[in-house]
Formats: sequence, C-alpha cells, structure tokens
Amino acid sequence: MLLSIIGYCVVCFTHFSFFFISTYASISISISIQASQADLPSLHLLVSLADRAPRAFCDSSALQSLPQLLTAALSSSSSSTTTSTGAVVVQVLTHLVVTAAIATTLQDDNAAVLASLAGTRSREDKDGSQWNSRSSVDVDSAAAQLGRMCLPTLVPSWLQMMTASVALVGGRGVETLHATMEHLIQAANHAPSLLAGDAAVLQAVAETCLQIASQLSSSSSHNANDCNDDHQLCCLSAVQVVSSICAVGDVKRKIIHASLRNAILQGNQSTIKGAIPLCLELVVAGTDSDYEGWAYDPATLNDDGVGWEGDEIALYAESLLESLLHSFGSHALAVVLPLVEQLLASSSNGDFRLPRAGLVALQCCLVATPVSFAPHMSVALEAALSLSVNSSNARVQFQAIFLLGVLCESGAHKDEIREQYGARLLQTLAQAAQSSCTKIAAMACFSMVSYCRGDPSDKTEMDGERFVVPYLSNVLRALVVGPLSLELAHSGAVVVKMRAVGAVACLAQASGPEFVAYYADIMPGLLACAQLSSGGSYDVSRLKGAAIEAATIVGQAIGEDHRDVFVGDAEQIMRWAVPVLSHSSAADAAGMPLDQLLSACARIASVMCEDYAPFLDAVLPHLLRRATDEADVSITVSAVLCVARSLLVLKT
Amino acid sequence: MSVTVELLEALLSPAAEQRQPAEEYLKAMTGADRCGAFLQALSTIQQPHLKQMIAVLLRRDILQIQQISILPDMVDPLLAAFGSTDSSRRTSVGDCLAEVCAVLSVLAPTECAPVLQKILQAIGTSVRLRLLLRYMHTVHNTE
Repeated sequence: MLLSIIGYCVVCFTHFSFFFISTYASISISISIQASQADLPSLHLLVSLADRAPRAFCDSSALQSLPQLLTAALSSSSSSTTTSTGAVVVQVLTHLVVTAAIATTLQDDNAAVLASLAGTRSREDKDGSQWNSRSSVDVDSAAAQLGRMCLPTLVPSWLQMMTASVALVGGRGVETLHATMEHLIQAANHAPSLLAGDAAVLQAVAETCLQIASQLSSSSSHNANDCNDDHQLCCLSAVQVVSSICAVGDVKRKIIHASLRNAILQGNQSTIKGAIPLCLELVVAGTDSDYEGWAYDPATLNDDGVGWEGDEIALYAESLLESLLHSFGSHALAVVLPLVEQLLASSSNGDFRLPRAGLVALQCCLVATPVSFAPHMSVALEAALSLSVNSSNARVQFQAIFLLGVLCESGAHKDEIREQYGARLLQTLAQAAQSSCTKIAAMACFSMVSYCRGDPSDKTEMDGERFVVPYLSNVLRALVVGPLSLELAHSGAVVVKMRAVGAVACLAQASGPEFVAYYADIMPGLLACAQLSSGGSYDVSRLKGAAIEAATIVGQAIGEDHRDVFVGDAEQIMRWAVPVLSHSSAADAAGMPLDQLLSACARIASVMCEDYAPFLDAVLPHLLRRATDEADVSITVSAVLCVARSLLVLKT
Repeated sequence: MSVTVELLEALLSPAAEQRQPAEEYLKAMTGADRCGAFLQALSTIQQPHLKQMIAVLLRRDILQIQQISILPDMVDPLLAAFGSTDSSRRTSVGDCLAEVCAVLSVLAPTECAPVLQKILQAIGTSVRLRLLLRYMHTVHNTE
C-alpha cells in the first residue's frame, strides 16, 4: 500500500514536471536554451551559423531571441560561472553575441552598398561614416541594440570568470577569460557599435575590463613563473579591449566624456588601475630579466636588438601604450610623463627594467604624439644622453641609444636639437660605437645615420657644415678605432662593420667637400672591405656591397672640385666590377646585389664623366635590361642620366 | 558504394598500402554519393572517433559540393546525428550543419532561410528533450 502511494506520487510528480517543462518550453522562444548547464554544442552551432551565414542568421528568429537566450542561460547557470564549464559557457555566449553583432554590421554595410547602387542613398552617409564601420558607431544599429540588451547581462559574468580564473592554479581558467577578451577585441575592431552604441554599456565594459586587468596584474606578481605569462597576456588582452574601442574615431571624438577618459587612463579606484599604469607595469614586468644573455647574443642582420624573444609581453604592452597615446593625445601624455619620471628616477635601485621602461615610454610618446611631445624633447634628450653614458646595464644603454636615433629622426625642432645637442649626441654615439656589445655598437651607427639624415620624409638637406663637420674628426676616429677595426672572426663583427660603413657614407654625404680631409684615412679601409673574400658567407657579401656603396658615396660627396682624388680609386672599383657584371656566375659568386653594384657604377660615372667611357660597354646592357624589365625592380633615373651624360660628353 | 568501419580504419592507417586503396575508393565516388555514404555511416557507425572523422570528411565535401540541390536533404540526418552523439562529436556535426547553411546562403539564399529555421527549432527541441531526460534520470535516482 505504502509503495503504491509512493509510486503514484512519483508518477504524478513526473507528469507535473513534464507539463511544467513543456509549458516553459512552449513559452520560450524557439531557441530558448535554458539549463542549469547550457548546451555547449548547440551554442557553438549558433556561433557557426552567425559566422558562416550572417545574412540568413540576421533574418531568422535567432537574432531576436539572443537576449532571452542569454538571460535564461546565465540566470540558470549563475552558480556555476565559477567552474570551468560555466566559464566556457560565458565565453561561448560572448562569442555568440559578438559574432551576431558582426553579422548585423556586415548586413548594414551590404544594405548600404545595394542602396547606393540603386541610387537611393548617396555613397557617403550624412556623417560620412557608412563605409567604414571601424571608425564609426551607429547608436541605432542592430549591433548597438544587441549591446544594450545583452552586454549588461554578460558583463558581471566576466568578473566572476576572472575571480575564478585567478583562484585556479594552472592556465585553464585564464585561457577561457583570454578567449573572451579576444572576442571583445574582435567586436571593437569589426562591430564597435556593440560595445559603444550606448554610453552606459561602454562605461561598464571599459571599467570591467580594467578591473579584470588590474586583478590579473596583481595576481601575476604573486604567481609562480609558469602562470605569470598567462596572467600577463590575459591582462593585456583586457587592456586591448579598451584601447581598441577607444581607437574608434567616433568613440574617441564623440562618445567618451572626460570622466570616463580619466578613468580609462588613470583608473578611478584603488582596485582599478588605469590602462596606462597597467601598460607601464607590464613593460617592466614583461621584459626579460636576463640582460647578460641579451648582451652576449651578437647583432645580426635580421635582429637589431629591438625585438628580443623574451620580451613578447613587454612589446605587447608597448604597442598598447602607443595606441592609447595615439587615441588620447595630450590627455594620455599628461598621465604618462609623471610615471616616466618615476621610472627614470629609479635607475639606481638595481632593476634595469624600470629605467628601460621609462625610455620605451618616451619613445612611444614621441612616435604617437609628436606635436604634443615637442615641448618635452629636451627632457627626453637629456635622459637618453645621461643613461646611455652613465648606466652600467647594456639594455638600458641600448634603449637610450635607440631613443637618441628616434629623436634625431623627429621632424620637429630638427635644427634646434642639433644646434643645442649636436656635440653631445655625436660624442655619445661615437663612444657607444666602440662598445664591446655588438648590438649597442650597431645601434649607435644606426643612430648616427639618423642624425645625418633626419626625418626620412623631410626632403630638405641638413646643414652638414654646422652640425656634422665640426665633430667629424672625433667621430671618424672613433669609428676607425672601434667598429671598422673589428676582426671579422669576432661574433657579430660583420654586422657592426656594415653599420659603421653605412654611418661613414652618411657622414660623408652630410659633410660634402669638407670630407676630403679624411678621404685618405677612410677610403683604403673601404676598398679593402670591398675586396674581401666572401667565402660563401651572405653577411660578408653584404658587407662588400655596403663598402662599395660607401666608397662611391664618399667619392661623389667630395665633389667635382676634388675629382682627381677619387678617380684612381674609382677606376680600381670599376676594374673589379666589370668582370662581375660581365659574368653572371661571377656576380652570383660575389653575392652582391646587382642593383647595388649598378647604383655604385652610376655614382662613379657621375664623377668620372668622360673617363667612364671604357666601362660603358659592360654597364649599359645591364642598365638597359633593368630599365625595360616589368618586374618590381626600380632603377634610379639618376643612374641612367649619369651614364647618358657621359655618353654625350664622349660624343662631343 | 558505402563507407564502412574497415574503410575508415584503413584511412587512419599509417601504412600506405592500407591507406591508399581506401583513399582511391573514396575518390572514385562522386561528391553527392560520398555525402550520402557519410550520412548513412554517421547513423550506423557507433565508434566515437570514427563518427568524428566522418563529420570532418563530410564537412569538406559540403564545401566542395556541386549539386547544391541535395544540401537541404542532408539537414534531417545531420540533425538526427547532432541530437544523438556525445557532446564532443556534436560540435563536429554542428560544423557540418553550419557549412550547409553557409553554402546555401551564398549559392541558394532562398533555400537557406527555411533550413536555418529548421536547425534552430531542432536545437531547442533536442535540448528540451535532454533536459527532460536529465530530469527524469535525476528523479529516478532520488527514488
């Protein structure tokens, strides 16, 4: 009797439950996936449908049902968000919303194209933003509506994920959070209206991402090294969400108000750091601490020492810092500079990464905000000059030398910089060119080239007589004694010599006829380099090419008034070059790029004039063949004109 | 022509003398025939790793198929497989469904909408059934 009553109750209860579930399901819309555990394969399928068939997806009931889907899935799984499964659900739901938003943005763009083709809408909308969803935000778009309806539900879940991932040992939780941030970055780049279509949503997203980044940054400093990189990477991905959305034109110009901007840049609470302090922290923490290994590694043609394999986190943070500076200009600069001051002031406490980060930040400021940074150039120069000489750490010295080169390339106050700092700059660079660290020596030579040439886009010539000639003697002596005297067997020596040869050429070009006083000291060494046996070494053959190029630049720079000084050496170069040009196998054996050799021949022709006639038969066929080539090869007009001029002189 | 367990195992074999004849056998079939054979195998073969392999190969064929007209007919068997396989394989089968929609949306947009709606409804239905089964299982365990 008792068993039958119990059985009856179970059956009634079961039928009631079935009725309840059926009723609930019938009330829910067609894709209502309510569950204590949302059905992940179904969610993945929805994401795939939105990604692969965006038009059909946007026209279906799925898009309209998304907000309810989200609410149902998250409210029923709220207690499990802290588990790894719950975190994956949140990540997939975020992916679904982002993919749906991108699908609607594509639809809007396609509709605009069709409308313009039909003549019903002008190609540019009234605000000119229709054609570039990456720079515009449409508050009335489907993506913006999706953001208003879905993101307030999702945002708290991201914070719960972060709390759980910090508590977990090992990477799984952080991986899921990182993937979620990657989806948001994709939204910022391809459907910014989702994140910024509503001011309140934008604020919530920005503050949450910065809170996530802050806590991950704090946790990474307490973790063991194997978790550090994952936490730091995830932290930066959260910052990148903010920097990406702030880089959107409409967002930074029209939507972000002052208080949100300050909160993003500086942070507004003790637990939420700003994006800039976070980036600088990770420039420091993400730098490889093995500076001795860095210094021991020789300079190579492909690696100038700026990008070091152990610095990926630091480089990532640096790129985000530059993006924030670019987006916010002087507002960001006002936040960065005091922090830079603190970093540079800590150069004596033993951690080289602090002053190095300060120098990196100065470089980012210069590149991203050249106009706003102009008043601070002298401060940056003083800091770089001081650290390049006084720091005992190779990486700090390198970064300072690199910054000096970047400062020299700056178009702003070009002459003032050289007027006030020219002597110290060249003296510092000359000293650094003799460094035992080949990366520093090579970078010093690069920076000399920057000093001589300035801004590559600036076509005005630098006043070499004022800014180079007075210091030429000391600089050349340092180059000859230092890098140009290195034994080739020395690790990294070939690259350093090549850079030094390039610096000599630039100094000659800048000095002009004044360089003739140093011709006898420099040219024999260049010719000796040009006739080295490459022995199959690609680096040595590049050095030979650089030496020939430099020799001809020097010969051309001293001018027609001193033509007699160069003619003998020019003939020697041509006697070597003609067999190389005449026999393609010899050219291959020489390993020198043919275009480089032809350019050198053209410079010699410009100096030798009618004396160049005996060499025309060897050179002209190559020039004419190059001139008629359709490939992506270019030949300077001046090279042809120089030879043609010689021909005309010969005819007369 | 059909796809059997032995054929699929031969495709996975590291030995070329076993693998190549299996590959030649599949290549000899037309795309439509191969899709049909894979769908049949999806419903009959039980080994999870082979089911996943079938889904991966089928997805490739859907992308390259020339007879667009057979795609809508593939949806029902795929939905049946989506509802019945274990979670990790369902994602692979789901990819096939998404690929069907992707191809139709580009080459036959008018046929894509009803296919998509069918998929969406089936997702909801299959989840509701799962919920019910899970609940029933829970109730049974508490008796």
